[in-house]
Amino acid sequence: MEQGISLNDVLSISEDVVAREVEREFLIIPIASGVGDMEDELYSLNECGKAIWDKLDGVKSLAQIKSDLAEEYDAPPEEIETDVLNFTSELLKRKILVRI
Amino acid sequence: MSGFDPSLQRVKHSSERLLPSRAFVELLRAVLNKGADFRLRAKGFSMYPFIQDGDLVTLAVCDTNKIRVGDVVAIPHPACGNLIIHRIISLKNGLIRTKGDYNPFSDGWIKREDILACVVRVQRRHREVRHAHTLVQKCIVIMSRFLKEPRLRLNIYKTLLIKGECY
Repeated sequence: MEQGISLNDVLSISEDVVAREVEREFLIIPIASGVGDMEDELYSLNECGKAIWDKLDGVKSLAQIKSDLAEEYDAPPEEIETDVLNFTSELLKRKILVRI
Repeated sequence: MSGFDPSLQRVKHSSERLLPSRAFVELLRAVLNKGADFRLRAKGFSMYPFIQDGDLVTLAVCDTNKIRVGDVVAIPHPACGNLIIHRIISLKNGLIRTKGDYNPFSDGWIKREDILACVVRVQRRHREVRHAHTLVQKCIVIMSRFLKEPRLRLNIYKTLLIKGECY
C-alpha cells in the first residue's frame, strides 16, 4: 500500500493520463516522458474500479467515496474500505492519481 | 448491486483487439492532444516490408502543411474510420490519398487535416529502423502506385532495403 494513504486523503486523476472506453473496456494510458505507451503502459479497470474512478473528483475524501460505495454495493463496509485504499494506492503508485 | 472487487490490470497484446476499433482513434487523438507521442505495436502486413507485424511504431503530431508524398501517417480509414498507418501516395487540393505499401489498392482520399499523426520512429526487435531517404520514399510510392504485380513489387521493395531497414 502507498505510504501513508488514509481515508482522509483527497485524490484526483492526474492530468498526465488519458482514459477512454474502447471495445467495452475502460482503458487508461499514463503519459510518461511525453509518450503514451500502449505497449507497456496500458491499463484497464473493471466495473468496480470504474465506480471508484468516477468518484475521484479531487473534492471527495476517500472516506466519502467509501460511504457512497457502501450504499451502492452489497458488501461489508470494512471490505470496501480495504479495497478502496488498496486500489487507490495502486493508482497513486503508478502516478495515475495525484494527492490534492 | 452485490460484491465489490475493484481491479487495475495491465493490458497486454492489445493491438489485435483494440486497433480495429473506431473508439481507439479517439484514445489516440486524446493522447496526441495532450502534446504526447503515442507508441503502439503494428499489426498486419499492409506496410510490409517497410513496417512489419510486431514493429513498435511511435506516432507524433505533425504539421499537415509540411507533409509530403512518401511520408507514413496515421489516419482514420476513409471508409470504416478505423486507425490505419499507411503511406501518402498523392496530394491534391488539400486532400491526401494513402495506401499500404503491400496492399493492392489505395485507401481513398481524405482531407489533409484529418491526418492524426506521422510515424516518427520504428523499432524492430530492439533495433531502430531508420527513416527512408526521400528518394527511396519516392521509389516506394512509384512502385506502390504503378507496379501491379505483387511479387515483382515486393522484390523491388527488398532491393531498396539492401542498404538497411528503413520505412
